[in-house]
Amino acid sequence: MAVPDVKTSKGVSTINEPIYPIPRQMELDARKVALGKRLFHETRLSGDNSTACASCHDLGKAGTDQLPRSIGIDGRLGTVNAPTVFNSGFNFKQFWDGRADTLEAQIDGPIHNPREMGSNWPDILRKLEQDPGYAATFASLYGRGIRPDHVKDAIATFERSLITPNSRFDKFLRGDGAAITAEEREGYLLFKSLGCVACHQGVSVGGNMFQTFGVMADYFADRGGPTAADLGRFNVTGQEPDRYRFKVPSLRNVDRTAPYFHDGSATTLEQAVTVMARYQLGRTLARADVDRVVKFLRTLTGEYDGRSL
Amino acid sequence: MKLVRSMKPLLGAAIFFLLTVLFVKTQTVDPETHNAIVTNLDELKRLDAVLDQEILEARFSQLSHYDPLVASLAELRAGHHRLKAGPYAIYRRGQADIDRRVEAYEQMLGRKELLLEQFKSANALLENSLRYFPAAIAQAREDHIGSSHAAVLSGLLLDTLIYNLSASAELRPKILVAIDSLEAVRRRSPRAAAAVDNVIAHARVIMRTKDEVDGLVGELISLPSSQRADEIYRAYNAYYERQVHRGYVYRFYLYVVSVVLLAYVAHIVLKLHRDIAERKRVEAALRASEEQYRALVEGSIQGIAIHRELIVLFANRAWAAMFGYGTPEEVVGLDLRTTLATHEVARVEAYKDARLRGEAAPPRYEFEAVRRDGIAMRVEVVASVVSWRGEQAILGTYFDVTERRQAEAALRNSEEQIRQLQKLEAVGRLAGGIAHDFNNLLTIIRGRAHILHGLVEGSERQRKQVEVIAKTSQRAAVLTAQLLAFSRKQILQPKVLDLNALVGNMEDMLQRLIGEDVDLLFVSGAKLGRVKADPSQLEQVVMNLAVNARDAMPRGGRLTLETGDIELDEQYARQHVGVQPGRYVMLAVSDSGIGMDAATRARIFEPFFTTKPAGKGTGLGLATVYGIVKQSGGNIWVYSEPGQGTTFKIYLPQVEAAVDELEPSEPSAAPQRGGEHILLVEDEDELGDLVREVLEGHGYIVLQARHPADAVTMAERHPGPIHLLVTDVVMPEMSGPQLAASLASSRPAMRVLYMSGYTDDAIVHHGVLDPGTPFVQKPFTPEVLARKVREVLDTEPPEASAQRRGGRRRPPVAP
Repeated sequence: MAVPDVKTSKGVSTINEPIYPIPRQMELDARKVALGKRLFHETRLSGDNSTACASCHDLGKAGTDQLPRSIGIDGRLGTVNAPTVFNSGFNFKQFWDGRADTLEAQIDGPIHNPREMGSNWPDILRKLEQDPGYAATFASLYGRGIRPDHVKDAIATFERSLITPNSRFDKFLRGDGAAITAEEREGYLLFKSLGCVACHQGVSVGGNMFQTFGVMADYFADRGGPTAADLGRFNVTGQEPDRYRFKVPSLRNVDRTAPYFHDGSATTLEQAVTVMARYQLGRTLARADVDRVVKFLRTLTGEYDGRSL
Repeated sequence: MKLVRSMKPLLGAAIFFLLTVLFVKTQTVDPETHNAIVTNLDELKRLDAVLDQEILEARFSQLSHYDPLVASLAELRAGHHRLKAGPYAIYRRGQADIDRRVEAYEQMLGRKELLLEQFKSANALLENSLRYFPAAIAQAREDHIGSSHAAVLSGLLLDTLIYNLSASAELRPKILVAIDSLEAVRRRSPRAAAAVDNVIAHARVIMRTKDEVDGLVGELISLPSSQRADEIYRAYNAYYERQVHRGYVYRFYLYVVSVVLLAYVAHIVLKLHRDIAERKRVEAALRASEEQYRALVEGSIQGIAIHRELIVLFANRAWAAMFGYGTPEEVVGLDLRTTLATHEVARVEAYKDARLRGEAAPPRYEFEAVRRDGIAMRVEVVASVVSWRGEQAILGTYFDVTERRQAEAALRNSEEQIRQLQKLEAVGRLAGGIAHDFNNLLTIIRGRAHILHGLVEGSERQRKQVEVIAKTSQRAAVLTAQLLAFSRKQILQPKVLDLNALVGNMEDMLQRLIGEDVDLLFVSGAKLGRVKADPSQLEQVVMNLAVNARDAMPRGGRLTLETGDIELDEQYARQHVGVQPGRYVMLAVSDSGIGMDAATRARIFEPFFTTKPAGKGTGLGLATVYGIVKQSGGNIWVYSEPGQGTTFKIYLPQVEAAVDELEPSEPSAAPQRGGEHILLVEDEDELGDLVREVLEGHGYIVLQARHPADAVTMAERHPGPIHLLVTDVVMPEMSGPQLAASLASSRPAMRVLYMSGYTDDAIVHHGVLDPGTPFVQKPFTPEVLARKVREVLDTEPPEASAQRRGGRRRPPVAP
């Protein structure tokens, strides 16, 4: 779990703040990152060589496809909204229902999912072995013979490199009072006082716990058209308390990752904040408060490769 | 044994395998791994405690976010993963036990994670409601729900907050009552419905989630994660210690097996060492045995040969040398028949055949052999049948007995010599005894005849008769003298002399003696050594030999006299009885006469043995020669073969001294007379009377004693001087010299003249007269006696004589 040094971050300016900055860089093997990046964009990982990881987690689109639900091979529609791959290394578990403990374990999901990449390891490895470039690179990094673990390790290492430091809010947390506006600051205070921060906290502003969708009201009844994916973590554990329970998503770069929720039902931040307040907090927010919270959320957009997402 | 030997490498491999197994068994968990495992377990416990603390912090809003919880759980997961993967190097049962416990820990961890996630979800709701609750209460109060209800709201807020912080359910009914009353207010006053609804909703969330959260916290905290870790640690440690202990045990076994192996190796090395030493010892013994055999056989001075069918198979160096060959190798294959004298071949072959057939054959016999160089020899062989390289052969030990046989012959010869010597000795003693008595008789006869001759005057016929008596007695005296000489009883007066001079002086006389038909040749040796002998006796020897030679050459021939120095060695001494080794002077007398045979040779020196016609010789000539030579300390040998002539060789011991001057023979003048008093002692009355008469006849006054006691008495009684004592030497009671000694004190001026015809008396020692002793030899004639008496009386008195010994005697002076 690529959680940054939490213990020490407690003692700096972020003391007692529920959110702390993303580290500016990660200590990773650059060669593995490079290989992983290539694999991440490799369409041969899919059964029909049409789909790569990057197909749904477009780095140019803040690591998402900006669709309510993703389109896999043969144009099949996915069951949930694709979460961003940025900062996914900070997530305590992967997938909306947290069924994968690690990024490496997560890879098996889309690879085999017939709605996503629809492939299998023997096919993938054969394709990679046939490519002299891959064979040589793998051999130099992992020794002879490409194994699934090697592919996963390379991709996961690359994904861990996908962090977005230097957001305006992180600069504010690091002591730059002018990094955010007064209004944005008020939005942050509202974010805390309203209770959002009860779930959206930590380095990723989320991504470190599960929570039931619809605590104060029945979201799914109100929305209608229930799906199997709506059961959330219940699909993994079969435990009744886990019904409708999902991984709390990170709010980092949330301004760039619309649409929102597992079902991609909220297309704007205002919409998402309003839904959250109603179903999670049992509150109806004033329009101004919604705007302030949204303004705060937009300060969470960081940089990748030196550029803002 | 063979099986055991073939087992040995197998045994070695087994021991090696056992050692390897034991060595592997001693390898316990390496300390680094052990430390890593123990540290990891400690770390798990520590992380667990941290997580529990973080849960409590989160529960009471002390934690601003859940990342620490996530991180702690991840670390626990990682620790558990290490625990699962960790190599325990514990034997199977222990590993299974540990695995089971790790599995239990994992289940516990899974449970913990599940609870933790539920805790986080519930706690977030609780936190959210608690955070919002005061605001919701305030909102409701602002909405004018009435002062009576304000107190309810305030009470509810307070109770809820306290209830949240308390572990007790005491406030729960009260809060529920308050919620119920608010429900009533909501129904009565729709205007405040929204605000009150909010309060009610969040109060219900708090009531619900508070219990849930506390329940989860309680369950989380009470999860036996630390105990599970401890159990793993205890189980692991027990197995670890067992493993370590087992390591000690195996190390001990390893030590024991190593010691055993080491001992075995040491045993092998020692055994090898002993074997080598033993082999060396055996080799040395073999070599020594071989050397002994070689020394025995090769070094033996006896000839050793092994032959089959008389063909030599092996012979030692001594055998080869004995038969005239250079090396033992040369004689291998030699036919022994070629070494046999021709007449021996049949006999030796017969022995050999009999021996091989196992029949009787002399084990030891002698035969005549011929050396390779043709020299004949006498060989004795001891033969036996042996096995040589698996076949029968004959082993013979050969002795060259040639010399032994010769020595035996020589010994037999010596024995003959001794026998002859003893015979001559016996005859000599007999002759000597007779001669002694004859001397006295002859002295009387000759004396009386002499006197009678003087008395018979006128009658020519009577005188002739007396002259015959005198002549015959003269011949008898000569005969007696010869007998004495032969028996070595005559009295010698030896001088140191040069034999060349003595023989040389005799040459003319000898030539006359042997006649004209015989040539005389004198070969004198140069620088001849001196001898000590009685010259007149020696002349007698030469003369007798010359006469003997002449008689052996009736038709003439040559007489050779030869002198020379010679050294007789030990070997010569051994072969010749009675000879002492040393330097001698040889006198050889050889003739070219008829020679003699062995029988004659054997008896040649016997007295009265003669080959001459009866009456031609006395048979005493060579006996006399023998006696004189022997008495002079010399030896005489005769070499002769019939027809080859005869050689007599005389050896006289050399002396290192100057030649004595020979006294010129005194002129034979008429005896001088005297008037002195003479004491005569002679136990033979007839002889005594004769001597007295002769002396009185010459004017002397004679006191005659019949024996020494009378003489002593007479000397005491006689008033006047006694000028001379004339005495016999051998007498009963007292010898002549004893008598002279007893009278010497009372009559110191008295001279002494001894009469003797015999050597075994007091004045002669070993046949030699004591120097300076006045002496007249029996049988003597009256003239000789008278002359001797005068001579003694004319010498200086004994005292003066003693003082002037060695000085020339004064010529006789008439009184």
